[in-house]
Amino acid sequence: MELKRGTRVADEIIILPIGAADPALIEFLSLTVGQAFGRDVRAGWAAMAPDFAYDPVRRQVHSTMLIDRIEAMPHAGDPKVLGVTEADLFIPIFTFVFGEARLGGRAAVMSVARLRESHYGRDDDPRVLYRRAEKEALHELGHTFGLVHCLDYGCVMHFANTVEDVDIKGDGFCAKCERRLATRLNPRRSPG
Amino acid sequence: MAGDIRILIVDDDPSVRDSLGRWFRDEGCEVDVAGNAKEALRKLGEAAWDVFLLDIRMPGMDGLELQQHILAVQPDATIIVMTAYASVDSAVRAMRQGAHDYITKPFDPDAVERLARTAVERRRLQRQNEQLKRAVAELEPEAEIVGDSPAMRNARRWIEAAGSSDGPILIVGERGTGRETVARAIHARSVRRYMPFVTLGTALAGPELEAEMLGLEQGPGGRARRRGKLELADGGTLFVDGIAGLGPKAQEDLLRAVEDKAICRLGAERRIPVDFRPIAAAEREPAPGEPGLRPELLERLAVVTIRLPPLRERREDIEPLAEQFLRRCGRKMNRLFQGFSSAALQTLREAEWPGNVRQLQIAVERAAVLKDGGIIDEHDLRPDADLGRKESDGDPDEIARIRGALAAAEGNLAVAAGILGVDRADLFERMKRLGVERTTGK
Repeated sequence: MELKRGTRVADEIIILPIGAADPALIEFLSLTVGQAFGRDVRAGWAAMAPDFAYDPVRRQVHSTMLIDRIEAMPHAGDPKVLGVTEADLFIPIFTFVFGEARLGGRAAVMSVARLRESHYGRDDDPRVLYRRAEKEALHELGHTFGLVHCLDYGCVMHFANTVEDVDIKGDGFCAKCERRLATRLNPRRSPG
Repeated sequence: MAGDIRILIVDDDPSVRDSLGRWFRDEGCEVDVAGNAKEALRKLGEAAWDVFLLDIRMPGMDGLELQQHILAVQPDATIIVMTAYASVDSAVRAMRQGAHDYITKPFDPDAVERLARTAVERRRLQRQNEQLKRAVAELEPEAEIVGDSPAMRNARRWIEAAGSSDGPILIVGERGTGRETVARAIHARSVRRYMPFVTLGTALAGPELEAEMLGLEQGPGGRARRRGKLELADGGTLFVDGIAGLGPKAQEDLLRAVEDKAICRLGAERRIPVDFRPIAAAEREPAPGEPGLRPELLERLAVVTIRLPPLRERREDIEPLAEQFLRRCGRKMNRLFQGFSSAALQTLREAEWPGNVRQLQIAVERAAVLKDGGIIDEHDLRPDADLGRKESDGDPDEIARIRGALAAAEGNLAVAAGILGVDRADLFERMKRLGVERTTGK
């Protein structure tokens, strides 16, 4: 989705590496996700280590704790912040999550651990990783803009429970989600 | 409601027959009525009925007895019993004997509506289930066993023969030649096809494998009872992949289960009858008297041996296999693939495929993940190492094209990818490999 020239955009999107994240992936996300939201994107500093949210029993990182920490960070303006981590994420009721976001809030996090081919015993392929990561980034950021899960299998807001689900869904918003997003990005110009 | 549902109403009260008959006719069903069990049995012999509505209390043969007769003739019949409040116990007894539902007199319109809906839906699902079973039975074997090489034609003849028999089978083939696929195809052609197909791997060993095979009456720490693979395969097929990798105890357990047709869960004394067809697989043909493999077990399992050739010995099958994998990926990913370029096919045909069919499948799936559709080209199939060598030479034309597109797009990666007609991830990956920087833009 492209916003019309002159559309008022609020603040930027920050891609925040959490712990050691692949710099090429951060750069790729910084170059690609902004267009869908009509916002500038910049990579943040690696200012956060995920250790405080690490659960030694599950050997995973509690994503909600990362979100709480991101929301508490001081930011100028009203940015949306997407934390990107190599750590495997969880919330207590699930065995794992690809990511988590605060609906309509400022912060989201996503993990690339289960997006890598090597997690499934195959050779890593950066292109496959980039595609999956872009979809997950759009999905989690979509939540921060108030979008909920979509029933359309092709929509990036469709819920993915497996990496195959991520591969199957598209890398853009369906018409319905796009309209909702436009309404939230620019309430005074909402369609219909 | 579906108009092709046939309902027979059996009640000695004419007002019930009339009112219910009208109701179901209004719903579009074909309805007939009978005033007693004798008349109902006559109509049962004259035509097939999908749903029976039976009054429990009737002079002569009552509804419960009539139900037994109907189920003996037509085991999949949907039977609904009608009863007065005073005889709900009888209705419950009828349901225990196979009735689908019951309704109490006088009828509540909501209850009749629910009853009609669920009865018709149940029948529709039964029919759909039968159709799907037929479709699966027709489609699955053809979809799975691909290849017209002499070696595969021979293997397919054996598979057909094994499918129509019920004896043990030994499948011999290298890793990735499709041993489990063949075992599934045999199962799908056998009389056991609607029963479970259970795979027993040999990744586990010792007590864990024993528990996996036989199950646990009571697990450690008071864990709940668990059924083993041999019990789960009851009525169906047990596929033992890597028979030579089974330890001596596991081989003994398997042999005993095959011979005795019974197992004992770990920690239990009670014997549980099991009846499965064993299909075993090995990487190479075990020699009689081979150490580590019980001769009695080999004798039991190798009644018929099916040998699967490695992919390098049936190169003519590579193309149809690859096409099949690509079609399957397309369906799964909802993408339209138009096949392989001639260069891609040549690459596929010339490869050695030490990992056999499975390696070919992974190569095709990987290429499909990277493409949004269209034709799979040679470079989509190349492993990273080859791509790297090719591109590290730095094709000046390609670098110029990418730089030109980035400049035209003012450094916007998505727009540049659109200009070049490639995916954003592909473009970014190529930029990294070729050392092309985004020099313009925001």
